[in-house]
Amino acid sequence: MSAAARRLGTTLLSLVLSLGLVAAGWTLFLKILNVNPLVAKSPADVWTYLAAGSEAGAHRSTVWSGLWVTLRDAGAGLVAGLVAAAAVAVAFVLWRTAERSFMPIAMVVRSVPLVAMTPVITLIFGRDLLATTVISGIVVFFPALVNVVFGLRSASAQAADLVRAYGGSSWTTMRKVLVPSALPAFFASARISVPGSLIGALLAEWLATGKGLGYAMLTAGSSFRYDELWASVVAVTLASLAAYGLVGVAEAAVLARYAPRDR
Amino acid sequence: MSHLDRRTVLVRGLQAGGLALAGPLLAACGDDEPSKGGSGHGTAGIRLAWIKNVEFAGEYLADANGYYKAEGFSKVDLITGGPNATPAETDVVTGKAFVGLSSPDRVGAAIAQGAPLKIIATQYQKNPFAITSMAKNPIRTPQDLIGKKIGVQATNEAVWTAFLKAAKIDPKQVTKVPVQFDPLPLTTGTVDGWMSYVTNEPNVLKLKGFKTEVMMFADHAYPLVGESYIATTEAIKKERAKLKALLRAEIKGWKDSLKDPAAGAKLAVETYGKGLGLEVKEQTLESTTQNGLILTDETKKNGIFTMSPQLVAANIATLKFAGVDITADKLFDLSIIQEIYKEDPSLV
Repeated sequence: MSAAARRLGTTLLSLVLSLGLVAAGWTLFLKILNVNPLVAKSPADVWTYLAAGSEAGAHRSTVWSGLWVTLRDAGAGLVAGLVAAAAVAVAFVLWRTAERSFMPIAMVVRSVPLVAMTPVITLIFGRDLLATTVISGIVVFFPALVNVVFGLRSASAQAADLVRAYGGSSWTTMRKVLVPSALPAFFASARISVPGSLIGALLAEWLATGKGLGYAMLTAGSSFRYDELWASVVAVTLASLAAYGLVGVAEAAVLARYAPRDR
Repeated sequence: MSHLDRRTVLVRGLQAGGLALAGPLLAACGDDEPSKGGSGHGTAGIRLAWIKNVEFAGEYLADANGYYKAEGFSKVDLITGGPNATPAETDVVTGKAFVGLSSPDRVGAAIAQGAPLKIIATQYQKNPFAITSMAKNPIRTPQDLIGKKIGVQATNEAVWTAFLKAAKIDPKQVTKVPVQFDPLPLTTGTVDGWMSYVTNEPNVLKLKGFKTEVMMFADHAYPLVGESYIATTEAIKKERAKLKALLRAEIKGWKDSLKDPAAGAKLAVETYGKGLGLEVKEQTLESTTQNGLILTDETKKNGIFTMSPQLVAANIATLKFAGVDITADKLFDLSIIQEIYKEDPSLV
């Protein structure tokens, strides 16, 4: 218990330290480059806007309401992208032909710039949660797919042979050997996908739904509300860090159960 | 707003993304002292309100016919705007441009955020924004907007919101659809109305053979002027001669465009906006519509770019209604344009 508390303490301390460093670097950067303070807001400005100013409450609810929409969009995309990637990866490993025929399509989908593809996606999927999920999911899907396929393939051949020698089907091998050994790769992709899913959600909001922080940041920037713009950037960044941390916690819990050899 | 194909807008979107990252660096570059080289006023930057189409015919003519040079400028940079550019207010405040072209609603909002800016003259006497709809599903009054789907571009969001407030339409009763600048979704029925510049989309669609209905904001509780010249309060105080010289050249250029709408269209298509895919026929139509926004009985009498006290009062009243509470002397300083015509009445 005390060990866990100490660990939590050090994590929080290092988090506070790194946030402090970022804020200091940010302030210094603006100072050195002498950027116009009407446009470039410092951490202190953002703090005033969100917490200390006379209208901070109203500002907070503006940013929060946008952030919730964005988090919902990104969360849906993250889950959809990861589930799809895991399912397709399993299919690839079970059926070689699937990989040969599907991989080129996945490559093409990933190579077309998302900004260019978004109008087509909105034509097919509309301008609601489905569209943001698809766009954000595409960002998540490809790197996760490559990682999980690699994870599945790197399973111990001896262990797989053992299951087969006892008459296990390839599905049993998958379940008992391949999937557990791919879990670290799966969670690694989940963690790196968190910022990606947020970027996808912001892009979808900008080009398709007109809701959430993605659109709010655009309109704030085009109507001289730079306080709101910078505060929104801070909110998205912090949310991304927090989500990354949460996935890390889930990873630790799952891996402790299924892949203890890596701990 | 110009007729851009989607790919151009998307590419610009990407460029803007890059710009957003490089923003602080660029803004820093803008802080350089204005260059003093050459004779007279040296160089000056004019930040245009949109891409380089015929909307800036007067600027092209002033440049091509040597009016800027004659007023003592070694070079005048026409800095392009566009769907994903930073606001003109930002470029003027950071010193990237000497003057900018914007509209009172945007300038008023920026001043409310602390930007030291004022409007010193205005090209359009009538607000150029309009809702374009297809003739078979027409939107003729603000009431007609209720229950409809309207395509609104993000950069025009502020104007749209202000208009709804001024026209007393509950935003919840209208479905806003985020769009870019190609009015294709209107023709396919994806949306029922399209936020437009009256000079642009209606003419583009007309030439493509579509029958449209146009509801101008100016005719419905939104008498705000458009394409207003903005400068920093510091420039108004310390660089009056330079501002006057620039405006005099602008007046001459725009008078040429009023006389011959095709001249600016040709320059836009062949020189300044080359590569934007503009068409002379469509740009000439735009130029003609635009001249109707600049020339009124008042400007015929007092000179173009001037604003009557009644027009100023109407603008302030509308802004207040639309949620921008600002006084006339905080938003406008029309002394420069008035002095220009007093000093040289032949310019009228």
